[in-house]
Amino acid sequence: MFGSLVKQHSLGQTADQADWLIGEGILVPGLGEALRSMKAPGTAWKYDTQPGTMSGYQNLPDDTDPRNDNGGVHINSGIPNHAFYLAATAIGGNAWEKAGKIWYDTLTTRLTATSDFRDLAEKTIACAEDLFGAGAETAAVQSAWHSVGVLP
Amino acid sequence: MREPRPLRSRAPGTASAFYHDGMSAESPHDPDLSVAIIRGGGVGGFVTRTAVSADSLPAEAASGLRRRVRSVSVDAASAQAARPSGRHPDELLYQVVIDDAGERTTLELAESQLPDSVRDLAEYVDTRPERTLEIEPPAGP
Repeated sequence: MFGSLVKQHSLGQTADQADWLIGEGILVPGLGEALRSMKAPGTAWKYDTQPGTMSGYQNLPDDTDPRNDNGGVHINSGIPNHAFYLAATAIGGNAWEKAGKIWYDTLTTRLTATSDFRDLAEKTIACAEDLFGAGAETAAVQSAWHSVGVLP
Repeated sequence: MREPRPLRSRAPGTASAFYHDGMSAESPHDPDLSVAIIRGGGVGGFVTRTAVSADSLPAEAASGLRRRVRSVSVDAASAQAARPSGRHPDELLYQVVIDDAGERTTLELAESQLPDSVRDLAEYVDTRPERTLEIEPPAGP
């Protein structure tokens, strides 16, 4: 998220102008264009299996098999990544000014090492309300988490 | 397309395993020794497979590979017994697959649990110009 925001800030891009790719150009061309796509999880490279919603959540064991990705942390991160993209584009404008502030404040002051997706959803909604009131920003964050299936 | 995983047996619920499967060599031209290091997790989440066969190496390097495999075999049981119960979140995970004269040994350890012998073997495989390096698909549907 914050890597993409740095890129957007450096390029002066609004949320709808950004490519929302992580690690663009890091792979040889035959493998794909980037490591992740927050806009379209699962499409960035050859073996990109990231889901964008909870319907594609991969319940992998947190064991020492390197293929299980420590319980799927790099695979299932497509879901909160996509929620951030949805919130940022719904709010509009420069993503670092509102959506970025909501997520940064939440991650640094409201979550713990054992927080789960639902905690992230609920805390970002509460944070949006604290920072911007119960208006369009908060509604956009709420809608994003509903869209990816983390909140019913 | 996902490649078939190595045959293995494993006690349910074990966090890592060291086991022999006794499978036959894949090719009569490669009956001796090959080593594959599969890594996953870590910062990027890629699954990579770095492999080398003794028959692709000059004699001296093949001896170096065998010497390191022997050290791993000696170390592995104690490494399993001594491994810490917890792992560092999101750390790099290693699966070491050794095929030696028809017998397969598979060792799974997290980065923070690697004994020096396994680290030395992995580094040796990584630095051999004869090695192959592939990116594998992660687990999933």
